[in-house]
Amino acid sequence: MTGLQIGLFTTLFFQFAAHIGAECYQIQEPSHSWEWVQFSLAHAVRASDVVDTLEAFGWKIQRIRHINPFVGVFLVAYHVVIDLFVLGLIWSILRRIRKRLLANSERAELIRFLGLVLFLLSFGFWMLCALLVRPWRAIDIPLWFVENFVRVIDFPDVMEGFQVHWHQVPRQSLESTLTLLCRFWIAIGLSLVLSRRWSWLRSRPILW
Amino acid sequence: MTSTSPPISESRYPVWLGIASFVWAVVARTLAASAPRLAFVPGVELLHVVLPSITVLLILCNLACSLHA
Repeated sequence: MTGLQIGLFTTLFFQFAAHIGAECYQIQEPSHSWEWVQFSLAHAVRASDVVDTLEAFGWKIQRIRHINPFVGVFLVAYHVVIDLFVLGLIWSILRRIRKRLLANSERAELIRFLGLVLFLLSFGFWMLCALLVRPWRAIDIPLWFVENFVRVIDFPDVMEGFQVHWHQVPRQSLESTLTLLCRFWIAIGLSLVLSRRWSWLRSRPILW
Repeated sequence: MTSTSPPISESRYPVWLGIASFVWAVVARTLAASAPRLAFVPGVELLHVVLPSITVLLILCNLACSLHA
């Protein structure tokens, strides 16, 4: 069903260019059919990319780019359709791995300790880079954290669809690696909060 | 003692919708590719609105079916 939806959305994006106007896109004329398939598949990859790795490193994986907010609305809808499938799959795999890893209490304790050490190391690495090696502007530090948080919870990629950016931290390999690490820890933190909330809801007695 | 499993209600994806979506994707893509040649056909402005709208309608039908499933 998701494959069919990808096909319909690919047709829709091409229809926008043909019926509304090619000015909806940044396009190198003449465009080929495979470029529209590439556009659609590239957005499927972007939707599946939960921590927005492609955006963090500024990798361009498509030749056609949208520049019209009207197309942006449909791209957000397309990302939601892909995410309904992909996020459900990722969530069930993660729950299974987590259950298996944390079955043994000693191993669970070791994993928690290693997680804490890795988090502290990542934070120290970020402080070293952002404050000493290549100092960022003061205003960029809170904006960078907030943008990373919003990008992780923004699963339909609204920010990407409408090309919203809040900070001016350069997108070089060092800063992009820090961005990816930050989003990774935010995603882990959010999944921990959500799974605790979920188990609390399940354990609560039903009163009605 | 035998245990009886609760009845499971299966919601099936309608096959006709899948076929209609696939056929429409091919037809709409062909029509969109020939849009410049249809530019001087009377009433073509209506087609520019109707054709993408049918695609959106099919996407919504498929989404409703997947959410129902």
